[in-house]
Amino acid sequence: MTLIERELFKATARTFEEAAFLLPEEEPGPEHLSAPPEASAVVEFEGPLKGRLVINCYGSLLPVLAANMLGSEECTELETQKDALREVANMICGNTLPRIAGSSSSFHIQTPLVLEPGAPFPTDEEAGEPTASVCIGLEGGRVEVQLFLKS
Amino acid sequence: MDMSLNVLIVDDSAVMRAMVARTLRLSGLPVGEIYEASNGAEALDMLDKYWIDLALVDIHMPVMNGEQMIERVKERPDTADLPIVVVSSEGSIERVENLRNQGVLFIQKPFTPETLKHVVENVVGVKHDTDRTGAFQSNGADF
Repeated sequence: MTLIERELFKATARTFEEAAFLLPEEEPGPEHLSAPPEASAVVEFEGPLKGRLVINCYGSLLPVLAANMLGSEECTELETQKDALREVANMICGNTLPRIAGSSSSFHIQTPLVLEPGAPFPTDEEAGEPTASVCIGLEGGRVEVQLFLKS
Repeated sequence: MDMSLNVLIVDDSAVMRAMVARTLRLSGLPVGEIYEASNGAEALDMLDKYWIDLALVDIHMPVMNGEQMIERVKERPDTADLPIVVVSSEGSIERVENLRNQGVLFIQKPFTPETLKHVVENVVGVKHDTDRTGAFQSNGADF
């Protein structure tokens, strides 16, 4: 794991743990890895670093995520689930960037875009391979978080 | 005497407002009424209607963002001393310093109930002793 991946992992794990009480598993098990694609979110940012952060969710993570963030038994409303993913994407991005660019750095982070469930996961043809990528197992599925930095 | 805090949560995300409210209740702080607004303009209306002891405010919101709202709150004599905590995902030192210069504290999302409690106690200028009284104990700060 690179230093950037370490920071991306820490920000991701902390966000799910503190915002949604979901305990992250650094090494996802077979049940996590076999989970089908669910939904994704993209966050564009500019500043000392420019690029995008992509979160791909697998399994049935969104209902669990939204319910836990709301503090309710369940959450079946799709818009609320998307709102939860949007906020999680924002938190991961906002926490990762200053850790890799320096705490005095300031970024303009755009509102995360949540793609409709079932839509193909985004790829970044211009940027190519992600600069950093982490995968975390969670109750209900797993998340892959990819950071694309543009030179 | 009721010493509970009436709190206004200002965020354009309904999920985030619920998350902040949940964390507040878990913090051990004596929370009274919790009011919600989805932008700064709505929040100013709420401040006209209700007695609010503390505002937890997001930065990026449509219609009126958090910084504009705080500016308006500080301009009004009846709300100028309202304790405010900015709750945001972005935590650059420059932004935190700017807020501190306006008398506003900052907390970065996500946060634990313990962190929220600590920051709220600092901004309202009181300590809460859950073991003895269940009420706020003044530490001498004005409010």
